[in-house]
Amino acid sequence: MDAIIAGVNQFPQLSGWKLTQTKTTSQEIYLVRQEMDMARTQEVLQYQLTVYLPTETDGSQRLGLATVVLHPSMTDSEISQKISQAVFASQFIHNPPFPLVKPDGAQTTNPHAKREMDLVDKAIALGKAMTQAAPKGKGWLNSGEIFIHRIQTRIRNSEGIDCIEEGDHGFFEVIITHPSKGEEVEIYKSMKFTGFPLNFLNESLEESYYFAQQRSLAQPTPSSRTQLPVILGGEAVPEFFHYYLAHASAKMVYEEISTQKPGDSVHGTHDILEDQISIRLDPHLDGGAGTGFFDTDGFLWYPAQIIQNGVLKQYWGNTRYAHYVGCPPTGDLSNFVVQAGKTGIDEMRSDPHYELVAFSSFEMEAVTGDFAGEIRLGWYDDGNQKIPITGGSVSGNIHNVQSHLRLSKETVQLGNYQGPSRVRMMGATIAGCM
Amino acid sequence: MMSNNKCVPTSPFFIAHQEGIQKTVDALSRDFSFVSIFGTDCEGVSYQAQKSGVEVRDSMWTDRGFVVRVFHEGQYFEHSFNQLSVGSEDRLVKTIRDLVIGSAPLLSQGFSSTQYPLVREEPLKGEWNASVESLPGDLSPEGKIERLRAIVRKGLEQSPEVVDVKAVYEEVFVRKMYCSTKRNLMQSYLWSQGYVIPIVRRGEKTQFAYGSFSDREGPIQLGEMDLMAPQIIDECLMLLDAQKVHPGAYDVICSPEITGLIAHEAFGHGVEMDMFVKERAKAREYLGKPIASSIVQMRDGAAVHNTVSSYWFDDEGVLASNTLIIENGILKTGICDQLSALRLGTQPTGNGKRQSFANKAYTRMTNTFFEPGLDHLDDMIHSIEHGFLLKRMMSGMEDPKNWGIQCMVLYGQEIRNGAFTGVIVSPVIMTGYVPDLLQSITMVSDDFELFGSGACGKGYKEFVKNANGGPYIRCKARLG
Repeated sequence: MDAIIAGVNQFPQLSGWKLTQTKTTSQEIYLVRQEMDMARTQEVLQYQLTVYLPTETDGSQRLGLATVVLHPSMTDSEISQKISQAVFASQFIHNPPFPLVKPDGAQTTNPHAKREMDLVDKAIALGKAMTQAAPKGKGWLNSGEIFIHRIQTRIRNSEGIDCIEEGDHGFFEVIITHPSKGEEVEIYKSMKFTGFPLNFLNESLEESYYFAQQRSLAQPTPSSRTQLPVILGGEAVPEFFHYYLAHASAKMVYEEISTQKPGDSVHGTHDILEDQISIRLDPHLDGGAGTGFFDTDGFLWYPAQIIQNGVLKQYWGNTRYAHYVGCPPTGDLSNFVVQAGKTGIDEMRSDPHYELVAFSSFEMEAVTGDFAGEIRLGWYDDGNQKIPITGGSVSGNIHNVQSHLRLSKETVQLGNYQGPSRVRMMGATIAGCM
Repeated sequence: MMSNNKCVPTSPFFIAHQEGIQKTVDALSRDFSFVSIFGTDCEGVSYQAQKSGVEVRDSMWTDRGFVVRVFHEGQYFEHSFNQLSVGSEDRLVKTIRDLVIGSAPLLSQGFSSTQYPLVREEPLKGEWNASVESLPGDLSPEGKIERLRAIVRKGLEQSPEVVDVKAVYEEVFVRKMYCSTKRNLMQSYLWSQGYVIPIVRRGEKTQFAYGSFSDREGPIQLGEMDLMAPQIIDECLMLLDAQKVHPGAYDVICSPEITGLIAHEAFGHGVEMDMFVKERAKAREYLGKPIASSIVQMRDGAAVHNTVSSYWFDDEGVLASNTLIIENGILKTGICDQLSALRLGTQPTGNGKRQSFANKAYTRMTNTFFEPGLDHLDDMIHSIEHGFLLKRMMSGMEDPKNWGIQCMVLYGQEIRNGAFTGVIVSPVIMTGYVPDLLQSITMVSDDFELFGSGACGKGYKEFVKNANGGPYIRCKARLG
């Protein structure tokens, strides 16, 4: 890093710089049924440099910035050339100025480093959990992938920030297959995590075996003559809440995509007849995919309440965009926690409804609030019987469903989300197969 | 700026390390019966302008490093690395030996291992450098930023309802090398892509649209972006009046972009033959059988057309090909990476691709498309009693095992009695069952277009560049 910083210091016209060093050591295991299909390792070192150059336009002070990637195999002359390119490009950029993160005395620690297990041992333990999980019904493990990355990040900037953090980050993917009368069916599940997520993996496996068994019994999704409540579960739930999170971001406010202001209802002018939304950021959530101690600028993360009972309390955002909109920074997004509701899942299911828990890919469009997903597994309850369903789609717009949202009191943790495991709504459209 | 046949230069980094890489392969070959080293030196810049400012940063596709693959006791192991200096080959050889020979017993205590045959390669040496009309250096960073700013400025002036316009241009030099005991290959090419993304607002309703561009050229593409931007903004303003589609099954005409989305998501992922190995692909049951209407031909290949995903050799050192997947509605074959081909006893098709040197190679699509037919778009529109012309893909997701379709489409134009009604529906989710949709294709236009601005994931990860497209097709689909 010192050589790069020395290179940057050759450009006295710069007002600042930020340099990030990332060392990644990884163990990956690929399983096909009970066998290991391949093992991979990696040792990768990378640098990312941002330079900041004061510029001027129409008599006002502006800031140019450009970011380049530097490889450890670069020669001194290549590094010098890349820095020159960044400085050259930044002179044509006239963005509003913003301050870099300054040290507050706490950033130099490395509290997250826990080398209690070797990477290969962790990967083997997770792999064994996959291959040895007790199947539900007649399902089996089709395939699985395990990635464990030990990542050491060091961030330095021209203001004196110098923070180091080391932690294990990972990802698993599991596919469970189940026979059915017609054809085999499968359920796909994946999750990002930090630490050693044996509990998440075991829960995912148990749920996936059950879902695969249910999908094997599923009938084509029926249309309903009357509009029924829809209960969303699985990965669709955090994706659904992303709309509220996106519209509370300083960046989206600065770009005028979001018009929300602190003190406003996040539900707009709609009357909220059931649960209100409360969201906080928690960078220290155990096992959360976003867990860490500082963001990509070296800003020390802290928990922050963003939305309370449907009211925007504060924007979240990094130092740059927080400065632009005139609010305190919270740092980039880490993990988000949605407050659970008061309704039990069984109570949500007490009248006719659709309950949808697995999709091809449930997607929330953060600008418009439109959401949709093809149904891989759900249940249709017409008040007399409950049947597993597959096929067709659910779609809607958050503005049309949020008056009647009910959040479950049961919670779940998925990636960088912790919160209700089910959300019940009125006003979503089911395009059935029959 | 315009001068024909400029050559994309070879990576000086590869030239400096070529001998060392060959030495490493030779040294490792004393311990392992197959050794290959694949390297990347990709360098690119992304420029983005919008009302709130300008961003310039190295492209996310910037990448420099190597992956070594060795065959040890019936298994293939890989190690990715990017710290290499001339003369450090002995240390690298020791690291790889220790990693593979050291971890193999540990891993074998955890799992039984798949036993693979040995890779057999035909000897081949060579280098390929693409020719282009414009190189990134033909226009300065200032020039590129100014062109994007102009698109934003004019867009904001187009209507008071325009809140913002984001204009993005990205250019990437792709340079890859492959070295084994039998092969020594190098390739260098260039691609660029761009986006124009307006945001418009009327009252409480906010809407976006986008136009995307891609080419195997440099900044020459900025001209097309400038030309098309007003039309994209008009489309976005039009969507402010869009209605929701009444859910149901409709006759639809898919624009070439949506045709490509179907080729890619609905069917292409299902013929990636690493899914055959895992028995995750329903397509395997249909080999040699009718899968689509008899007027349907579908292909994939990096050796056909000149797009962001066209190359000489893949990320496993296998030469690119042009695979006929569906011929007259019959499923002929799939596409295959090298190791899956070994498992299946077939030949690889040059479709082994990696997100970067640090990622595994999977079977991936390259240029995936339906071939043009004989129909004219006007006749296709006239043939629809009630349906929609679907435009602008948003996203899609594969379901190779159970062949469900999820295609997210930005909008549809309603057609009644063979003419547009002026009604727009947005957004649209198209779902269905792959064989039903492909069998329902009754008309295929004589148009043809490929789109390469997106990135494709395997599930939710492993993103690679590819291109999809084809003609307009008429079929039946369920919309919601």
